[in-house]
Amino acid sequence: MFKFDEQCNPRQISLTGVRAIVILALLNLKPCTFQEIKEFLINSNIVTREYSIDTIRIDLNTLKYVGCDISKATKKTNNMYILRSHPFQLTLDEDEVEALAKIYKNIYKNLSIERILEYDTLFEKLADAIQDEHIKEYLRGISVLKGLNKDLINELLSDAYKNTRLTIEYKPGASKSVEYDITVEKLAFRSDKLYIYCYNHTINKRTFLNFSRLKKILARALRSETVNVDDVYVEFELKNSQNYSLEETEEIISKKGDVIQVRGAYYTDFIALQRMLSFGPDCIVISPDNFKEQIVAKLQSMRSQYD
Amino acid sequence: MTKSLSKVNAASLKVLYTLQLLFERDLEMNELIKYYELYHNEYNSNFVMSKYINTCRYCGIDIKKINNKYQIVNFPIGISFSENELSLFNELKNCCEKMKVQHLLENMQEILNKINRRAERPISPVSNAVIKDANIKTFEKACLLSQKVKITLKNNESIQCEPIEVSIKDDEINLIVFDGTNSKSITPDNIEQVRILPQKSNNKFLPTTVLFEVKGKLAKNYQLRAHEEVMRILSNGDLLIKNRFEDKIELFHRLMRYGDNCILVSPKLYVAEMKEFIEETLKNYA
Repeated sequence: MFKFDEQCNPRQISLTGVRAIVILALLNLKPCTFQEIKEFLINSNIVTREYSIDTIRIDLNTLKYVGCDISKATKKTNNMYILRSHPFQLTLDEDEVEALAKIYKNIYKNLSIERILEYDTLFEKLADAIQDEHIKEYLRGISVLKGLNKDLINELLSDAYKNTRLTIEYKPGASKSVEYDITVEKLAFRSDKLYIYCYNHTINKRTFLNFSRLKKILARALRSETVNVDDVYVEFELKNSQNYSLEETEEIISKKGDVIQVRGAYYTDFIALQRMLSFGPDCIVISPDNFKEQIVAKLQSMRSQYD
Repeated sequence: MTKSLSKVNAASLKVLYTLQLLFERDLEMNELIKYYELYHNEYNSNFVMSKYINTCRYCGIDIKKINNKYQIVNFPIGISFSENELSLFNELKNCCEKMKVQHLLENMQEILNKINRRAERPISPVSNAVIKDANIKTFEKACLLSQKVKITLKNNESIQCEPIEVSIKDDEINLIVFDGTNSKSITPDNIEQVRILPQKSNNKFLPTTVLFEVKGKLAKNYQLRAHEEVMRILSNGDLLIKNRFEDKIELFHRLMRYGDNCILVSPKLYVAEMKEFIEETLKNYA
């Protein structure tokens, strides 16, 4: 509840004005009956016991006159006055929401899923507080978790923390659903999509599954099980290095002019392969040899498409 | 305003009107009196207006006189934000400062003004220093006005061109221009000065349309980028994607990442260059 500023000289305030603001604040907190409002006003020394239902009607009419939408206290509302909207609500215009969306889109890739969930809740809270339907919709569309099951995300985060082994139903594309036994290691975005990074016991390797294709969790093992799988380590030389930003899991081993030698750790060899290919001619894989062979084979296959 | 004036409390109404005016904007006393008279057809003296302001203050609405203007610093009615929620706004503000785009900075400041009214501990304003990035500011203005610009680079080269947009990607800002033949991306760090020219932009900039095919698993999971659309779904489920505006080199690097799940289809020049790009990469292992 708000605090009265006792410092104010009582002769320099309008008590009826105070009444109106207090009723607005009370109703903003929760729907109230006449009796509840009266009790609060009496306890705050704003009115006497004589405060009547007729006076509150005048106070409510005054609030309605400035744009408050307040319901009547009827049997249907449990004899409560309900404040539906008021002119002192938070407002955001389209330009402001557009700015929020642009800034958010620029940082979410560097955020943890937990933080992205916090943003999702914040945008939802802002949308709830705002009257304008168009702005509400805009705000609800900002989050990258839009349309995803947040409870399930939270469950998986908890599973990742506890190393819980799960049996899931997963639908890869148009083909039939499959059952996988997995241990979730983390959740992260790749190309604007949420993926479950996990050890897949069914196929005995690490993989990343599209979260939106997870149909349901069929079972959870009671015991936790730590999976010890190493990342894929690749050493490579990178020319024109000033044109690239290294990822968190990549470290510079040596530097000569704008040529750097980097050691990177990647979740799977597929991710490592994509990363090396993305550098184009600026990258030469140094080790391991089998990975180098994979790169060459992939490049040959790519070239053959243009013959 | 459906209720008739006879059924309302006049004094309360005046306090609420005063609050509404201050809710809209920060006002000096004489402005407050003037606006009140304008909107509500009634003159109030300094003394009366002060009484209404004090009434609001008594209810916990923190109204301070800053630079001679009455300003609602804290408004405890309605939505409020936790420390953690404020840290999210702070994170957005910090990111926005790095982006250095004037209209984003201005809008962020407007948002903070509104949020701070509902916060126990207000977030510090958007840094003035970053707003003063004059070259980006001038370029943005030229985009809005559709005026040509002259960009002088730090190596003393200069380009007369049409401004297209300020592009922001992963905290990196680039000014995208059309020099009459191609679109170019210029880093603000390399710019000495941007000057708006009196000539209007011809708006002849037509971005190259690039077509590429994505196949197999990638086609099932492909996430369309901004300025991309699916042109056709092929019988085997592969997709033909149309891409515009993306910087050529960036696009090449991205398509390389997709390996043999992707093939560039047109324009011919790009196809030849892509092939060359792959061959150059292969030469590294010869």
